[in-house]
Amino acid sequence: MEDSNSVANAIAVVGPQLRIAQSEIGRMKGIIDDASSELFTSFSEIQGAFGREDVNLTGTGADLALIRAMTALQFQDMVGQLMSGLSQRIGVATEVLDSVSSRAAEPTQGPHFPRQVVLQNDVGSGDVELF
Amino acid sequence: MLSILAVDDSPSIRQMVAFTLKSAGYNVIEAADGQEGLTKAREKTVDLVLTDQNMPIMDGITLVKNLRGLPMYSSTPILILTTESSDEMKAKGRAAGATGWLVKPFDPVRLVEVVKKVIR
Repeated sequence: MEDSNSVANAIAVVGPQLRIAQSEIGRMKGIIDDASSELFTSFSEIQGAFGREDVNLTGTGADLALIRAMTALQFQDMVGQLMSGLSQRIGVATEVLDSVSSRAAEPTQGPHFPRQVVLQNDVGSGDVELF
Repeated sequence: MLSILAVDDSPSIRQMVAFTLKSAGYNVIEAADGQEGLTKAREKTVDLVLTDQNMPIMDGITLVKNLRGLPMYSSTPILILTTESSDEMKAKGRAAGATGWLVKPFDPVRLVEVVKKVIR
């Protein structure tokens, strides 16, 4: 009895914290999306200020810097996917805890956690494979 | 001018892809998901399709399968540009009819090299 009370107490503490974490992830994603939008706008304006409508892919100096920036700016896509996956994962974990704490009937299906779709650790360019 | 259809639900990726390919002299048509990509591909036949995999409404592999079912896209190069790098997903892409698999983030120079290699 004590053990089940301890578990219920733990769930009562952890559950709300997971919801807060999920909410914070949503805000982080919003901030990153907003910052990325500003970065891209600035990127375009800087190009315009220097009279550049495109990049010389075989160039040097400023063109190489632009190319590096274009690779790194793709961080928003990877981070966005990581955060969405994390938020979903926390959501499913929260549902599992809710089902345990409410002593609801056993679900007909096991919890479905999202796949990991982003395994990169940095913004170095990825592999290319032609079939 | 050769045309490329770029499909990705990320506005930042679409922006970088379009800028890269336009700099290399290609006309770029954009779509935000597989269904929109399929619609635009039917409206105007393009010379290459570059698509993300994980998108709402219709994912990239499903888009590839649908395009390969259309006579005008039976041999068009279709590249998948995605964060996914697993052998399992690559095998699915290959089985669906994709021409190649590029893992994000892409290097603009490398992207253009690959496009030039496969586009007709």
